[in-house]
Amino acid sequence: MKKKSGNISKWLIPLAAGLAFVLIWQLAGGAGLVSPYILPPPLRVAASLAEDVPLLVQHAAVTFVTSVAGLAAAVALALLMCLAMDLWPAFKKAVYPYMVISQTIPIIFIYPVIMMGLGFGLAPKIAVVTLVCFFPIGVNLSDGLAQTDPELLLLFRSMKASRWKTILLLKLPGALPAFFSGLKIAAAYSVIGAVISEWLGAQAGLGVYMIRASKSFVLSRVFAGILVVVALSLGLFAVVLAAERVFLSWKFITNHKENKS
Amino acid sequence: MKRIRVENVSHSFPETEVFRDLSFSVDSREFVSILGQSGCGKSTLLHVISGVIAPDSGRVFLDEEDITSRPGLVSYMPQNDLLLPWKTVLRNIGLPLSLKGRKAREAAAAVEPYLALFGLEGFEHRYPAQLSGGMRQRAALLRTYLHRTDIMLLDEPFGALDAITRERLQEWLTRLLETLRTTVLLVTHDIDEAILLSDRIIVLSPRPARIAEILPVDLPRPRNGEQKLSPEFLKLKKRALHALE
Ligand SMILES: Nc1ncnc2c1ncn2[C@@H]1O[C@H](COP(=O)(O)OP(=O)(O)OP(=O)(O)O)[C@@H](O)[C@H]1O
Ligand SMILES: [Mg+2]
Repeated sequence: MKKKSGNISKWLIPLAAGLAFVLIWQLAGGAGLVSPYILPPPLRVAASLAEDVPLLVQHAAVTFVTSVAGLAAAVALALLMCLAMDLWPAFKKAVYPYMVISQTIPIIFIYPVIMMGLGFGLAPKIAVVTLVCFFPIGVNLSDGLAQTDPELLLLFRSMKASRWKTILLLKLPGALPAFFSGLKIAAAYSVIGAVISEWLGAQAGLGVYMIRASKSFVLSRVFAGILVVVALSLGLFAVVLAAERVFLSWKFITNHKENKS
Repeated sequence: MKRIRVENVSHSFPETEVFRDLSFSVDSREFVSILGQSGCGKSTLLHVISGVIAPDSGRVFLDEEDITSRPGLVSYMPQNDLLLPWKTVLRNIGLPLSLKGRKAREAAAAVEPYLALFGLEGFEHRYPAQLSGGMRQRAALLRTYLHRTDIMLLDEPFGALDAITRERLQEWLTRLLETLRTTVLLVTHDIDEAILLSDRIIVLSPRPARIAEILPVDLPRPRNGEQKLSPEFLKLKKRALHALE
């Protein structure tokens, strides 16, 4: 019983808060407190959203593909880099600082360079998403691998475990929780990364849709685009959460037991 | 015949001399305890014998074979149970077999016959966090046994348990070893445990550790906790206490 009411309030409270916020926003617009050219009222945004469904679906599909491809590339890249860094400490020393630097690059300014290398298609956009997503995944995974319990490493050594088996049976599974922390952050950022790259020059995608809407001063459509970006980001985040539940099921099972006792 | 011989082994860490010139042996199917105060270097000694760290000098032999710095040739149970939290009990216990390249199903089949003997039947599909401390230690012990069944190094296997569970497991271990007949070298700072389990006790002095005394334990077997009050037991305890100083 207690558990159920806890679940309801877990959903109900944020939902009610959100609705209240939207209501106040709508009323403030209706009362003339906020100009619709600065902040279009929610009903107007909803109308634009409904009008543009086919167009939004088209653009969202492009953004979605870019985001997922970039995220997948970032995961593959992070996995390769982190394994290499774990196997060769000298490689880690050489590369780790640049991993951090990669995150400090203002994408807006190097995007033309990326485009010169990768052309005008989806490739440079995917590269931007990869650049954005690689850092949280790579740093978390690499730290997770580095934090393997030294006593467990000693135990594996006492059983003469090969390097590869030690990685496969000890280091990687141990680093999985850290990897998922990084992946959650990356999933939340990936769509924004895709939108920014589209903003910088593309033929399709939510970034293109929004820049067109804003250039023609139809703010309610810009907001409709924002809503779709939020929904896409949340959707990707939810997929990662679900994957985490599958891969770290042992954690959720044992946590459950602790909660009960 | 599986016999361990330690010859003139010395080891230091930067700033700490742990032990100097230790020599002793453990005979085939003998149960020997190394008794020493906390911090005197017992775990380090087991690391050296199991081959995971190289001693500064000295050698370790298994029968006539030099096994210094060669891990994998004896079973070693670390001080903490160190079960992998993401693997079920069955998979944890089968780990040494998986590391030797056996398939998961084969490893499970090799583990199953022992589950009852180790009091783990019905718990094999749980995760370590769902077990009591005593069960985790038994699971770790079975994992150790399956790596190599004839020779085991145990580092304070019951150190983290409450007094009642510890005594129950000590009695269980004496009974178990009558069935398994394995050579055991156990490390402990618990005098009662050493006397209750061992054929011989090697008492170490405080750091830098040397052998203070070797005590043969002639108490009749099978042993149980009640013997702790017998005059022979108390006499041994007094000698061990004296040697520890
Ligand atoms: N990797 C290490 N580097 C430096 N000093 C160490 C290292 N491992 C152990 N020592 C030191 O060596 C000494 C012996 O440690 P060891 O763990 O072998 O003692 P122990 O007898 O097993 O103690 P306990 O009964 O508490 O487990 C201690 O003073 C410890 O601080
Ligand atoms: Mg120790």
